[in-house]
Amino acid sequence: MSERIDKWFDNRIEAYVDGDLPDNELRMFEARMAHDPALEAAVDRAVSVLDGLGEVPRYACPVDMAERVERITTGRPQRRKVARPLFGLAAAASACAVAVALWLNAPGTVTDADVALAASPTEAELAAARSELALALSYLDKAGDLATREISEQVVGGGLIEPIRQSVGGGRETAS
Amino acid sequence: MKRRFRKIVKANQDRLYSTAVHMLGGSGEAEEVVQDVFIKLWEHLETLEEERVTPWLIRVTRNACLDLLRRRQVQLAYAVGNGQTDVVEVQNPEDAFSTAGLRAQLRDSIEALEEPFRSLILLREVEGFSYADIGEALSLSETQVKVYLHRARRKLRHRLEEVRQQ
Repeated sequence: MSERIDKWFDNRIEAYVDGDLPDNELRMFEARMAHDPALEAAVDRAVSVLDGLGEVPRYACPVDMAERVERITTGRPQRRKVARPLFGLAAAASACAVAVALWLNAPGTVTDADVALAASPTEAELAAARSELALALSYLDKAGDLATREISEQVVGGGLIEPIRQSVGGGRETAS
Repeated sequence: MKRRFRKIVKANQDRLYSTAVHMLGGSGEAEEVVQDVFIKLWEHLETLEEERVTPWLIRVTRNACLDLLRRRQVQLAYAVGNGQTDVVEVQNPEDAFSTAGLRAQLRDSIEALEEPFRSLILLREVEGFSYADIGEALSLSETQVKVYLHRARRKLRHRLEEVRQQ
């Protein structure tokens, strides 16, 4: 601060620049400024500061945060509850499905009787086989979905985001 | 809810991101901070009244930045204690209040301001948030916001004057 400026006036320079001085103070301020070049120069510098602040660069957010946050948060709490207990079951179902598929396609020793049977399956046998295969494939699909969710949960739902959440939140979040 | 969320994010993401960049001095952490702020908004959106959303966003963003800065100071103190820093700042005093000089000096001077003056300058004079929103975010009346802002700008002016006189 310039020592030549009275503290009372110096404390009011920014309010003067903003037009916030009450009438009585404004009159005193302008009367002083009329014959105090140091105060006038300080007012000019206050205007320069304000102009300079107006030129400080603003930065645009480089990503669409709405889209990103929706992708991260959608369905997250439900997944965590459902995916973990069922993951073992899903793995077991997957193993069963693979076993069934292998059994259905097992190469083994083929006898004449087998060929004869295979050559003439009844409609009922075919329907039953199709049904079993569909069931096995549905188990396989389900197991695949659950495994994908589990991996997604580890990567997006908690594994990478949670440390960021903790570091940013830091216990000071003041949501009401 | 999704539509309301998108509208709020669109209206605020640039100003919050820019505030975080200025407060943290870089864009990498700022993006993470703003992302986390909006995750919290998503979680609290149903409980927030319309007119309280922007102050809430300002408050959570500022708190997150201040927490990060505090953590950095601890790390810096540790680094200084171990002789790992070599910071040399060279400025030309005669440049203060010239256009280019003012810009550089202002940046350093804003950085040197203590809280809440620094936040007030960034939120109001740089990012243009309303007095009402800033006041609610920082638990100040609008009059207090104005008085503190005048004080903050006076500090900046004095600092620039000191640099000029050196």
